[in-house]
This record gives sequence, C-alpha cells and structure tokens, in this order.
Amino acid sequence: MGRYVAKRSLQAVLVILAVLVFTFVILRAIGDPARLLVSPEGSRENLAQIRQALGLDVPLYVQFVRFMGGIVRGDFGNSFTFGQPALPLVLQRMPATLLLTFVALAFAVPTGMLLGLVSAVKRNTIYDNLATTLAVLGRAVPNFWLSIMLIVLFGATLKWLPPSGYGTAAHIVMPAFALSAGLAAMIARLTRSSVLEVMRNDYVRTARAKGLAENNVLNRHILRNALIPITTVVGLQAGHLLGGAIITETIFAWPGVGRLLTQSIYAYDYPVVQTSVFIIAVTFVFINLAIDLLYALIDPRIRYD
Amino acid sequence: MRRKLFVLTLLTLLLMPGLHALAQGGPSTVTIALTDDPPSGDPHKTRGANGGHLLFNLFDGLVALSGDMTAITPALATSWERLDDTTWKFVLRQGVTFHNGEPFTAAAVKYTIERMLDPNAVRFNNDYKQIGEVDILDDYTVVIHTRVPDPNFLGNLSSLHMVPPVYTSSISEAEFSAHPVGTGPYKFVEWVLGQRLVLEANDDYWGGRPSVDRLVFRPIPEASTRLAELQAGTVDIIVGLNYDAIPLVNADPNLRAEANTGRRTVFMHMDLLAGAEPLQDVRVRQAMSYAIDRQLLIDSVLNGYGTPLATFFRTEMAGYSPDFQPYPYDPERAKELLAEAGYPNGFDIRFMTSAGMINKGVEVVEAIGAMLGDVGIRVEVLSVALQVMRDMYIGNPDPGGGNVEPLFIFNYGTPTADATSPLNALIKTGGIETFMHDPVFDALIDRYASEMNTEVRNQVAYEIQEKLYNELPLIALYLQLDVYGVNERLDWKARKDEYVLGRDITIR
Amino acid sequence: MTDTESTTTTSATATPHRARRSRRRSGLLSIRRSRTATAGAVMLVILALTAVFAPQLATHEPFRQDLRARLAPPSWDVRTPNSHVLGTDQLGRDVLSRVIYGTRISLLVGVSVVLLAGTLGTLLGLVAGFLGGRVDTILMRIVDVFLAFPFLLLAIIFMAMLGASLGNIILVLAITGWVEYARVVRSQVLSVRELEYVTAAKALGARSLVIMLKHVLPNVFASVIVIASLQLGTVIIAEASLTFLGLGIPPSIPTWGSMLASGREYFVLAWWLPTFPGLAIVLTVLAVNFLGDWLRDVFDPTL
Repeated sequence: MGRYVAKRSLQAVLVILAVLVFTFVILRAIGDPARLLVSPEGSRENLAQIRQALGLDVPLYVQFVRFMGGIVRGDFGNSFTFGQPALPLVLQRMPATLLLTFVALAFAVPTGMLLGLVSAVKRNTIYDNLATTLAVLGRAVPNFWLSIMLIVLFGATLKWLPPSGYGTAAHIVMPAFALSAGLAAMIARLTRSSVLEVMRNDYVRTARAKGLAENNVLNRHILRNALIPITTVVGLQAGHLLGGAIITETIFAWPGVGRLLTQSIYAYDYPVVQTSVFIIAVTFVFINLAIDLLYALIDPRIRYD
Repeated sequence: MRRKLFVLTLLTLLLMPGLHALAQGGPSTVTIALTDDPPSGDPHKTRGANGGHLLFNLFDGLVALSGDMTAITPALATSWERLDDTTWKFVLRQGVTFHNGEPFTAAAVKYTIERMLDPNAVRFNNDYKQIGEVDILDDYTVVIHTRVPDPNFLGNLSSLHMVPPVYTSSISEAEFSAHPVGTGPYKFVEWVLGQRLVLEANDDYWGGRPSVDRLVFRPIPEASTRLAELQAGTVDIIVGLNYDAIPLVNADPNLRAEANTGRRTVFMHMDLLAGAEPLQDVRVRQAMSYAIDRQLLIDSVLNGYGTPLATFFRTEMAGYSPDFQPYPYDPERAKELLAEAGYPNGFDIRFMTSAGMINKGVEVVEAIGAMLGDVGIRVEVLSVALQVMRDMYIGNPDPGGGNVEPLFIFNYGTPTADATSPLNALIKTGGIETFMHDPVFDALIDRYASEMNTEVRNQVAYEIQEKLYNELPLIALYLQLDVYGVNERLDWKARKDEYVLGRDITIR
Repeated sequence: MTDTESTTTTSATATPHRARRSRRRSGLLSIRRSRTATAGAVMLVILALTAVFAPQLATHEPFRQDLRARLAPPSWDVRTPNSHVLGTDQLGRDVLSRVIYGTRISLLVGVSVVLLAGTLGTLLGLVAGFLGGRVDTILMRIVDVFLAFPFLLLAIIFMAMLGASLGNIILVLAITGWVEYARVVRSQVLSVRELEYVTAAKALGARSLVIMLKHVLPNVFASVIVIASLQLGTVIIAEASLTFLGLGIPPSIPTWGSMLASGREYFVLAWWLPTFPGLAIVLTVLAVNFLGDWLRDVFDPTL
C-alpha cells in the first residue's frame, strides 16, 4: 500500500505537469492578449508596448523557461488585466468556491442517496416513480434556467433572499441549491442503479438466505458496495466544483475561482489562467487520488499491487 | 434542544442581511451594479466604461467634459489660454490636495504627463502622443506644448487624470492600481475583486463635498441578475438594462429607467482590403445601406432607444453637418444597385457579431441579416464571444491578409466630441481597426486632426462626411442609447459619457 | 466473497427473482408493464416523429422574422390566420415552429455526443480496468489530465480555433464527455473482474477479449446506460450553457438550448420564451431516463 501511494503521488505530479504544459501551449494558440488589452481607440504602437511589457515579444521557449522558473520560485507572474500577482488573486477566490462546494455537496449527497435508496428498495412502486421523476427533473432543468428562476422568485419578487453576491449565509442558499439540484439527481440515479445491482449479487442473496435482518443486509452489504460508483461520481463532481461552478458563479455574482477563470480566459490573461488551472489541477488530482485509495477501504476485493 | 438552537442560528444567519440593512442608518450609500470589475485603478492604464466609473470618481483632469459632452469646463485648471497653435497655458486651482495629503501643484501636472507618455511603460496614451514638453512657470502655472497643432487638445485633457507624484513614484504600478489616490470627489476605500469597490466622499473636495457618502460598485455580469437586484432594492443603479425590460421597470413605483443618447455609434465594418469581392463595389455597399430599415430596427429590437445615423459623426461632434441624413429604407433601390453592380441574384456573405460588441448584438445582426436577405443578399450570421472578435479585428497583424470575416458589426465610443479618434482608428491607413487604404481619406484625416481654424476644420469635416456617406467604407446604423435602471430614491440623470458619477447623485 | 451456496437459492428469496426473470425473458413485451417506460417510449417516439416531420408540423417558417410582431404572447385564437400558438420571440419568429425544428438539432447534438463519448469512454474504461497495470495507469492519467483541465478553457479554445459550428459543438462536448464513462466503467470493472465467474473464465483460459465482451461488458452496461441517459440531457443543456457563455451554435439555427439561453432575460417580460424550450428539454430528458431504467433491466444478465 505504501509503495502504491508513493507511485500514485509521483504520477499525480506528472499529471499536473502535463496540465501545465498543455495550458501554456494551448493558451498561446488561441489569441493575442495584447489585442484584448489595447484600447480600441489606441494605436499599433500601444499594442507593441503592451506586448513587450507582458513579455510576449520573446520566443515561446524563453517564455516557457521563465514561466517554469517562476513556478519553482512560487512566482506565477502578474495578471495581465489587473497587474497584480496572479497567485494571491486566485487564492483569494478559493474560500468562496470551497464554501459553495461544501454546502452544495452537504445538501446533495444525503438527499441524492436517500432518493436513490427509496427508489431502489421500493422499486417499481409509486415511491420509485416519484423519486425517479424528482431526480430526473433535477437533472433536466438547466442550471442557469433554475438559477434565474430562483433569483426572480426569491430575490426579486418575494425578496426573501439577496439575489446575488457574497457575504452572509443568506447569500449562499440559492447558488448552493441551484448547484446541488443536478448533483443530488445524479447521485440519486446512481444510488438506485448501484443498489439494485448489488442487491442482485450473490452475496446479498446469501446474506438474506442466512437470515440476516433486512436492515443489516442493506447497511452491511448493499450500501457499502453501492458506494463505489457513488464515490467516483461525487469525487469527480467535487473536483469540478472546486474548479469553480462557472455558470452558477457568474449568475449569482459569486466571487469564486470559476468567475475569475471565466474572466481571465475571456481576457486571455495567461498568468491567471495558468495559476487557476494549476490550483484546480492540484486539488482535482489529489481528491481523485484520495478516492482511489478510498476504494480499497470500501471494497476489500480491490487489490493494489 | 440542540436542534432548536440550530434552527435559531440558521434563522439568524438568514436574516443577517436584513438586520444589516436596518443598521445602516448612518452614512448614505449608493450601490451601483456594473457588468464587471474595473480592470485597473491606474488612470493611465485603463479605459472603457467599467474603468471609467472608478477613474472619473477618484480623479480629476485639468479640465472636465460636461455631462452632455459638449462643453469643456474648468477642473484642476481654473483657466487656460492658447498662446499659439501648439502652446497652452494653464492656471491651476490653488489649495487642492490629493487624498493622501499631497498638494496638487504644477509638479504633479508635469509628472503626470511624463508618466503618461513614458515610452517604456504600458499606457493608453494614444490621445496624448501629440503632447511635448511641460514647462512649470510657477507652482500654479504650467505651459504645455504640443508637438503638432491639436484642435481636440482640451477634450483629450479632460480624461488625463492627475496623480500625486510622491506617492505614485514611491510604489509599484500594481500597488498604485490597487490603491489609487487622486484629487477627485471620492476617495478610495476598498476593492475586493469580484465583490465590491468602495469609495467614500472626499470632505475636502474643491468642488464641494458630494452629497452621497459612499459609493459601492458591484460586478454583476448577468443582466437578469442585475435587474433582480434592482427590483429587490439591494442595488440602486444598474447599467445595461435590457431595452425590453424598460416598461417593466417603469411600472414599478420604486423604480425608473434612465437613458441618454450614449456615445457609441454602431456600424457595419468591412474588410475592404481583402474581403468578399462584392463588398469592394461601392454600389453593393450602397445597396446594403438602402436595404436596412434603421427605424424599424430601432423601434423593434431596441424598443425605440436609438437614433439612426448617416455616418459615425454624432451631432455634437466637431464639424458635424446635418446635410447628411441616414440612408432611407429603399429595398427597390437596393435591388437596382445590386443588379447594376452585377449581382441581380444577390450573393452569399458571412456577418460576424458578438452579444457583447453592442447592445443586443445577436438580435440586431440577425434582424439586419433578414433585411439584407429581402433584397437577395443571403447572410449567414456568425456569433462568437467578444474576445474572439476583438482578437480578430483590433490590431490585426496583417490587415489585408484575408484572415478576417469580411463583414462584421462594430461600435466606436469616442471619449470626446471629436472625430479624430475614430477616423484614425477605423479609416486611416494603418489604424488599429482599419481594413482599407484610401490616400484621399488619409490626407483629409491628417488635416482634420491638426486644423486649428474652426471654419476650415468644419469644411474638412464636411468633405470627410460626404465621402463617408457616399462611399460607405463603414455602413453607419444608429447611435446606441445607454439605459440604466434607477431606484426612485435617487435623483440622477444618465450622462452621455457612460460613467456613473457620485457627485451627480442626490438622495431624495 | 466466495460464497458458493449462492447458486442454490432458498425459496424465500427466490420467488420475486423468478418473477422478475420471467418478465425480462419476454424482452420487449415487458415494456408494457412499466408505466414510466411506456410513457418514456411514447414521448421519444413523438419526439422522433416531430424531428422527422418538422416541416409538416411547423405552423410557420422557423427563420421568418416579423419585427412588427415581436414578443407576441401565445394565442390560441384560430380566427386569426397568422396566430402564434406559443407566441413569438425577440425577432417575431414563431416559437412553436422553432421548438419543433429545434427537436432536430437538439436530438442530433445529444445523440451524436452520447454515441461518440459513450463508445470511446466505455472502451477505454474497459481496457483500463480489465488489463490493469501500465495501460490502466496511462489511461487513467490521461483521464486525470482531461478532468483537471477546465471545460470552459477547452471549449473556448476549440470554438476559437475551429469556429462555432454544429460539428464543432458536438466535438467539444464529446471530447469532454467520454471521461465520465471511462472512470465509472473502470471502477466497476475493478469490482467485477474479481467476481468468481470472471476469475473462473480466466482460469479456464478464456482470452481477455472474450472475457471482456462476454462477461465484463454486460456487467457494466447498466452503469453505461444510466450515464448515457443522463448525459443525453446534460448535453442538450451543455449546448445551452455554451450559448449562455457566448460560444454556441450560430444564432439563427434553432436549438432548444440556444432558445433557452437567449430567452433567459425574459422570464418576467415574456415567459413563453424560456418556458417552452425549457419544457421540451425537461420532457426529453425525462423520457430518456425512464427508458434508460427499463433498458438497464433488459440488458442486465445477472438475473
């Protein structure tokens, strides 16, 4: 196990490196940040000035060496747009994103698993149909549609909640709910199918045949095994959310990483995009590493060599 | 018990914003929702609407532009005199201090201008490049030399904001940008990117303390969210109100819509160097202009909030001539012209747009596409993100290389009532958004840019407009109106220059 | 788990299983027994027919603008010859006709992406999970790179480099969509490959490919169906999200997603603009999911 962890960690570092290189190259293929920064009322000399100041007038490999050298020193460069160091700019957005992710997951995981379990255990009954329909609705309603409806209803019309922004607990209710609706639905569907799948497996039947109490079977065998695909998906989703829920953060003016990433991609703000992608990649890769290791705990049948 | 406590805590947390609002009995605060963060607090590095809200509240120029952009008014200079075509003397206002206590003197003027023109730094200095030396006569008198005669010198100066020399030179540009210090009616308090920019009334402002104590600018990119904030009463002014939402806002007793005829002219821009062959024929361009029912476009898609244009000269611009009226809607004439040009069955063309380029960018272009379709020009509308368009058309490294879509929607918002800037950027060979080459235009533009005799200059302007009107290197469409949603508790009129200035606001 | 008793089930638990098994044996017939599946099937048939007969069904030409009749509310008044049953949009186009034509594009995008992504992802997941070792490591790290890379960045790069077109939208969504299949399939294979019948097959000398196709694939199919049925909806919505971000399909082509995105400012002003394409999406996703459930049972060989 120890060797496995070491190996996986090394691979994780390689993945992050690959992401960094990929981001660096591809960013430079999409366009010229100087042309987005220059005033439309400006001139071509302004353009050259900007390019030089941003260090874009040197060959690509020189830029890359500077970039990697900077990272080693913990210097991710200055934002093209805001002129400030990119790393603090990104880190400053992390709390908002973490908070939103945490609240959304805290709501989505139990709700989704409960719905899924109900529809699996009470399969093909009215409960199953209801739970299924509810779950599918959660997924079928486009996120931005739901978000705007929430804002119009609870923000503008009823005035129960602040329509957007960040700061108090009330601000988080709508964005977290909007985010978790789809998540809960996804978890519900997966729980249902995994539970059904496990329930048909031999060892469950055996356990039942052995006369184990139904609750016990459910707890010890079914849920435990059903957790594998659920963990995978929750891990994936958590990773995505930590990368910032771009649309939710945009609609609710939530000052998270997703908003910043959108802004910086739109501005071709290389340093900020690179830094955000780096942070997102690190978070993501390590969450997934943790999940892979969790498999081993949940399902003893999986062996690592 | 524990559960009760939990519910109570939750309720308290939920009610906090409400309590917060109740507690705000003290200083008067006006919250303004913008589309995005201002890019920088450095007046020499930023332009555009979002930056302007910050700059024009925090800083002053030597002169200012009136809200309707027609008059030059005193600001940090109390009077000025043109000594000759390239020499201007300014008498500075005495007793003015920057927000950090530094006195405003002639040294600040010299420092500011030299900083703006620093060739080794990134500056938005295109409008100031004609400025040469600055001579300090005494602490409160400066003489500014221009390298060439510049009839729009004063207009340009209105957005050349004065910075404090000691503070500015003691810190990095990034620090200055994050903690700007000026002489303006508002002082910088706090700026949390993505959340809020807070300004506070300057008690010592030379023009009198503004009546609103605090300005809070919030970046809210989504238009429907901004509208909801306005309706909820959590925001007092929103920018970019959807034209279709105007009746809704006006029907609310607490709200109203405010509009001003903006400064942005909307036109169809074309690649005349290497673009589609039909566009090279002036008759085709005229046919296109005749095929567009500008009034219908404005009355429908823009809900009436627009003014048809003949050229990109707005009525208040130096040398504007009312002789040129917008092309009438005449589809029959359009078809004749197309036939004359050898396209009796029309042609196919792609028309690029972006929702962010102009208000209702996609709808407007789709509607124009259908109008052109009615005379036989089959338009395929391409809608891309704004940055893709900017990257393609602004500062194109190889204009004439055929690397752009031949027909695209564009806008130009001059910061002053002068046409030099758009002429240089759009028409003159080598301009940053020029896709044409016409030596006659180039010569006329150079004369317009430097002619100090108003009568002669107006004559040059007339020739330019005549040529723009007849040859249509750009097909002018309309003047875009900026619409704001405003809470009725405020007295405030929209300015033409797009900026929301705290000193224009009073609370009823 | 090494319970060998399990093959001989006791009567207590066997009865319901037997009943289910016989239902499954009757294959297609059993769809009648599931009310939701029937409803889903009927909805999908209606959708497919709508897509095919869009020109006959549409009451108006979907691209035809009428700027003088923009934002007209729904009108069932049959006496008006030119009435718009579901109202008109910002440019006076008939909403009903656009929703009908939108069926074509939305289904095309959805089905293409699911097929492309599902096939690729399932195959890679199977290979990774079953072969394990170095192949697994490399594939999973590629997956990680894809996942760690923000979707928006990929989308912007693709759309900027290749241009906004229907084909490119499908490509972008497929390129980001396969990963989910690969991950879930792999993790299921990891569990399944240790099951006794697979180990038994291995022990009996069956070739990897045969084992994979005969024993492992059917086992993971249920998950794939579930993901695919959910993804079909996600894709239709993702297309809307791209339009929301300004990266979508050319505006004149009616898709539910783009109608929804451009109608989002009109919840209060003209409720019919976001409502009807939204309903179309919701109903479609519901139908696909109901059917997905049923398919899952049919394909599942373990019962």
